[in-house]
Amino acid sequence: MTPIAVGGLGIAVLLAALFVRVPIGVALGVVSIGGIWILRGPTAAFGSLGTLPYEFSASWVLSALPMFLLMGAFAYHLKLTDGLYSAARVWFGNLPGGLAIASNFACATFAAASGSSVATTAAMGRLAIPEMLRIGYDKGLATGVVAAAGTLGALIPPSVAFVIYGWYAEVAVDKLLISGILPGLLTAGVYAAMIVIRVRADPTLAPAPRLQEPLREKIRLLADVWPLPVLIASVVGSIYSGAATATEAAAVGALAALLVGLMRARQGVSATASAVRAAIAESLRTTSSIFFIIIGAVLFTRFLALTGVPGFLAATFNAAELGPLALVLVLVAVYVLLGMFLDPIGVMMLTLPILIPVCKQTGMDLIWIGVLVVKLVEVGMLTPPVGLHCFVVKSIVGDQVPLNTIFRGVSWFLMAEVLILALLVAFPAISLTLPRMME
Amino acid sequence: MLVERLPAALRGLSRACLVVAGVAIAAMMLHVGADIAGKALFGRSLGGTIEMVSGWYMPACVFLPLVAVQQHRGQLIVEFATQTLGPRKRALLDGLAAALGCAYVGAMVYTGAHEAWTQTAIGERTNSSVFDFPVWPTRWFPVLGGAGMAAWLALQSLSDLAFAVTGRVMERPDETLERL
Repeated sequence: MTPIAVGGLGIAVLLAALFVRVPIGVALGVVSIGGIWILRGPTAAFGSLGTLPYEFSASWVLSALPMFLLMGAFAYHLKLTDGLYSAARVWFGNLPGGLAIASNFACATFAAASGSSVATTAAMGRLAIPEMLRIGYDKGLATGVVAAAGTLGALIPPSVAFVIYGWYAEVAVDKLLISGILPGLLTAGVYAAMIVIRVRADPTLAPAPRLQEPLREKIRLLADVWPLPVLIASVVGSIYSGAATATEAAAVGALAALLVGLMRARQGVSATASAVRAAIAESLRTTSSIFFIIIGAVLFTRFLALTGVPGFLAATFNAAELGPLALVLVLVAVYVLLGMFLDPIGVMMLTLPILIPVCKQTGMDLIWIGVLVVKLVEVGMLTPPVGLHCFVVKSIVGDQVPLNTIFRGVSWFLMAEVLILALLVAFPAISLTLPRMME
Repeated sequence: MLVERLPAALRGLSRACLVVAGVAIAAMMLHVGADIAGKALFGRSLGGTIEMVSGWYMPACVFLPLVAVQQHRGQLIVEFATQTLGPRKRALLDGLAAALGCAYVGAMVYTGAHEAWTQTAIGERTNSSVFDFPVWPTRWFPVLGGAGMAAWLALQSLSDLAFAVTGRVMERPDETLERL
């Protein structure tokens, strides 16, 4: 059997293992060790397993990952995110579809602080969806906006997905984080515009809530949430200005979230201590489970490199003279397909070992590709049949809204995503302008 | 019986590992924060920050919580293709997957222990000539975290396979721990 055939067989076995409930990290690792054994023998296979997990985990660059997770966990558990929806509601509520637009921007801010799109969907869904349903919003719109806007967290910094991609692709993580700002804002803007257009065309979708809060109350609600945007802006600002690396900014962000949370704590000492402990435990468990998958992916990369599959695919693309655009279209198709079944980290770790060598050999900009990859894996959180965000929303609304209504509501945002993706592909400058200005 | 006592012991290990990892992540945050504050306010770095982060804090944060992750079956899996299966068939797949995972993590522990022993014997230290301190103890973090994870996987595999074969709901090891 040729090495490329072994590589192809390995990929097939990996996919089969995933579909029979083998954990992603285990499947990647077992297939890789088996493949390396076949190609190079047991000494090479177990040699990798003994040294590689420690050596890649003992990483300064990757320490940004637990620090960003800790920042998000502190922001959530110490209730820095609590007033977001109330503030967004009074400021955007009187626009057409105002509560949906408020949910959209509140999700964007929450996601930027927490770095977790699933946590954003769960937290904002509990606040926003019941109110939208109560005043008669279309069920699809009310649920769809929360499910879709949760995905903004992966693009707007700090973003765990960008840290992982940057480390893997050997691209500067600070530039990657900054590259996600404009695509993230573009997404939030297109979502808001789509909501306004739909509600203008059919006002029954979103009855006006008649909010008449005095300006003083509006400012009070805004003042209540000011630390969060300031925290996010200071993290992003320090990276952009070069004052701190992404790793340093992540640690300072976590420390600042803790200090601000402690200063504003309205609960007792014991409850605050519990919240701090819960935040630390949550970020540690998430860190460890993500790294377990990455260890498998690193082994998988080594296995694929031995097979020559990435080089073979790159040569095939070059020989076919398809050009970068065709490669990007293939990328979109593959990610949308895998995103229907797998979670974002899993999709990234399965595909990057093949994608990055191909992109390097074809001379594509890895920052631009990173933005597209992160965008696409988050779109996968909305697409049926798995569409994790839709199931999170379903768990909140219970029997009030059928699952197919949620997917129908999300379909409008997926159509918006087609436009956003087309813009990101057609105009790489949207992704690359800010990182280039850092140079 | 070992199988009866093991969950309680593993729960203790899981908690102890989380405490140590918690100290490490908090120390990492404070250490890097103090380093940046030192640079900004006094124009001086604390020194050894990168070495401490990569040599001590990160291995603790990555490997020690593995025990807690597996205690709560916190690994990511693809559920889509098996959602329509009955509970016994799903338990059969889960049991086999856990056995495979146990073998994989067990191999990682075995080879990692060999490497840790080698580094312990030579007293591995940081590569830096300026900030020179030992890092060999952290070579044992993957061994400790992995061993706890493998033990959970073994217990969960037994529990799932027993349910798949007999149809009787046994006390699942992780749920047993939740009650204790």
